[in-house]
Amino acid sequence: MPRALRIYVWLVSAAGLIAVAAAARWGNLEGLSRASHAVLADLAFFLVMGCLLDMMIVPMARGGAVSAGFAVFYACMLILGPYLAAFVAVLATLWTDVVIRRGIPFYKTLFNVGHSAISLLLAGATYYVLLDGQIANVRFTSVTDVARILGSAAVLFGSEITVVNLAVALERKAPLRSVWLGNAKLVMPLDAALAGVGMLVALLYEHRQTLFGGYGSLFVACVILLPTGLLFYGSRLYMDMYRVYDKTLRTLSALMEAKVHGGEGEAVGHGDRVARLASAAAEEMGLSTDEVQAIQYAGYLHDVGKVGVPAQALDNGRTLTDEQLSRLKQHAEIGYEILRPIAFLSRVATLVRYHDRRFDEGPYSADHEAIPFGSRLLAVAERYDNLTVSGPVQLGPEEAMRRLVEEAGSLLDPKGVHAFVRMLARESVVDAVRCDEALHAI
Amino acid sequence: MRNLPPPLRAYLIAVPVIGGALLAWLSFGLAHYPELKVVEGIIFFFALTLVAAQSPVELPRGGIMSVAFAVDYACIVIYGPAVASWVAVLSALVLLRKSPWYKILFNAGQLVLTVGLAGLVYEWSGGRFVALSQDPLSLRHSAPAIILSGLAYTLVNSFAVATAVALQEGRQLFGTWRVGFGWMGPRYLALAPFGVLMAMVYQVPDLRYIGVALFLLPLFWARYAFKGYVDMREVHQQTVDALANALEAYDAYTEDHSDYVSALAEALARRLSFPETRMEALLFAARLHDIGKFVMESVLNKQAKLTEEDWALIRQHPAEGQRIVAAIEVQPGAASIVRATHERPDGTGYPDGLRGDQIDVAASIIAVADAFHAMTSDRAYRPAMPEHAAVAELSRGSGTQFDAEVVRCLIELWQEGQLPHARRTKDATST
Repeated sequence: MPRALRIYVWLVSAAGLIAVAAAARWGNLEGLSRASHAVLADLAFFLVMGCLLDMMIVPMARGGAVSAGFAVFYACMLILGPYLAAFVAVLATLWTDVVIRRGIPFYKTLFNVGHSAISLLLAGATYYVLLDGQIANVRFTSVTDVARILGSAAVLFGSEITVVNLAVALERKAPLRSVWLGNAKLVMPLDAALAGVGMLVALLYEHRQTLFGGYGSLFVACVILLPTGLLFYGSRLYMDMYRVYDKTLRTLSALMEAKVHGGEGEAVGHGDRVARLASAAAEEMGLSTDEVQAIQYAGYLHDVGKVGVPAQALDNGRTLTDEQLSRLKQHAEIGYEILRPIAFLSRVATLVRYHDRRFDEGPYSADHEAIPFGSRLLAVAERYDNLTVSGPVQLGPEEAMRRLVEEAGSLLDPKGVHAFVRMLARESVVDAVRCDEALHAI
Repeated sequence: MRNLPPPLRAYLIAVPVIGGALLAWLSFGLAHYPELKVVEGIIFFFALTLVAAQSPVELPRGGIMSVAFAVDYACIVIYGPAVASWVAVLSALVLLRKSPWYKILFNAGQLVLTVGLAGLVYEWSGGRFVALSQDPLSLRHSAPAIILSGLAYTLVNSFAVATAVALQEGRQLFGTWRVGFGWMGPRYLALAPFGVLMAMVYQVPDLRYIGVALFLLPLFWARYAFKGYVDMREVHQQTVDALANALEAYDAYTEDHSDYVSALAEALARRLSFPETRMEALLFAARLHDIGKFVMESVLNKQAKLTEEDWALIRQHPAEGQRIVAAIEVQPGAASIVRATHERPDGTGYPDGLRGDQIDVAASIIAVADAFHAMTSDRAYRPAMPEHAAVAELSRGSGTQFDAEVVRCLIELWQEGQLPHARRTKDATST
């Protein structure tokens, strides 16, 4: 584990534990010791619901996961206050991590406990202190009411997303911004829905007598499992599909490589490596999530057109005739033709089309289309993979980095090389000092 | 409308006519409930449906799913069948306004039938309209009515849609319905309690609007996620098709091969009443049945006589194909079909040497379609065989090399002139 991540995880865990200790000390736990049956029943309700919903976990496309438990924790925060909510969240998290999911490293559980507690206390501070709310009194009658509810939900889920994504970013050594934005597009609607479920739980729970009579809490419990179950199921399908798609592209690209190169030698895995390197460099530059994803897919598929190039032209050992060379040059264009019919991959098709262009051939293609920057990044990543793994001679990373820097401005885009080299340093592939020296040369 | 098959045309007209009659009858019935605030109900739920039904999700094998169901259902429980039917008609007219007129009419009719009948079932089995009663909705009392009407809704809706799809595409009704219902049923049953809850929340004056609005949030997300899922599935399918095509297009012999094989396999499967629920897996396997070969390119295009090792490798290609299709994993079941496409009923096939009944029908269908197209298209070492010669060759192998039942179907299709047309295969372009 990187050091920064380790420090961060311990920090969050410690803060969470302190928060829980504070909750035990100053929270309205005395209310409990007075054995008020009502509070105990409330607590039992939220605890059971929290444990049930916390088991529903939706893994996110760019790392991390969202748990449906937050809907219940949020409702509990509205009905019983932040301290008891944090208490419920801690117990529910322990339950899922230790009893249900098992085998989760202890520090991860501590981290999960910590960030849930912190987020809930922050949301509670917003609701009760900042905006002057009252316990168990959820209303939507005035503007302040609405602001209080929406504001505290925003704080809860906002802090939750940020704390978790920071850990993901540190773990993957990727910039926080790109991880955050990449996940937020999918997480925000999900969180909004969970916040909605949370408000619903609170409202139904408050009015359970009027609505359901005697066994009110039981009905509310059944009622809530439904929408969250549906939510969970839909999201799971969706996120899984992204994973499946990614795997399919990799399988097909491996298949193409096998067909073209006979499944042997260093060419195998080239698509995978270029995809990873180019998209990491794109994240380093803070490109938009969609662009990063397009670059990743284009990395898998950039050599797809080689299925249309006769085998002799691809054989590195021999010198190529002019005709063979021109066929090889066409592979980018053929790849573009193959991918063009897939509307979803239209951006990817363009990136593939120009991944083979030299930087000094100018910023426009023959038909006056601007060469996208993503293609330039792919070219750098491909060059690096050729130098280090799949070419005739294998260089070490630092030697390869120096070559990239030399070729910046002629073969490669200096901006792309710059980002790529910074990415190498961030991932500790090359030494940071060497990286700085190299960058000065551009 | 003109170019639709006549039974479908009759059906598309019948449904709105019956629906219109039902709507008229229900509307007259409203006279029994003078105190029902019909207009208020229609306006509120119409608005709600418009919001809830934004861009419904199209399901892969026909039909649409929308969370509007929950709203429809709440409307039934609160205001009864007449108001709910009117809301359904109005929303169909607005939401589908860009579709051809017969589609609008059909869907409006179909919705009236669905909502109206579900509402009547609710009323007849003792359900009370929430808008008319002073006491809160008692779940204990209304549970049977709620369950029965939910069932009625799902059944009528899925049958109405499946009939249209089956008539249009010439599929079996029951199989089509089962595929569609397999998709829709669980979702509708999951949504029904939402409708009831919305109705319950609607009763509490404090909660009426905000409560109902809050129900829409998780529903919206569910819709968003399902839409994302269905879209991604579609993209996935397109990608696999395009890349598999590309592999083929630049291959010496197999251009258009899998296109034809899947068309013929589909025709054979329909003739054999192959279960509609497995059709997608069959077609996917047919598209990709040769994919294991691409990895063995060098052996297959070898000019010299094949050695024993080469043969061993070739006999593994279906297993390789299974591995690749399983990795793509979009159609559970397709991978094992691919594995069995080179088995023979007499047990001399490969890679597993299965015999007779051990071989999946789906694999037998693909094997026959594959052999037929291979014989009837040009190869470098021989010109294409005429169809009658290929058919004769297949019947010679019937029962030993090929599944007898499948061969019989192919001969029937051939005699009736129902075989799919092959695109003219181009000459091999490989250098």
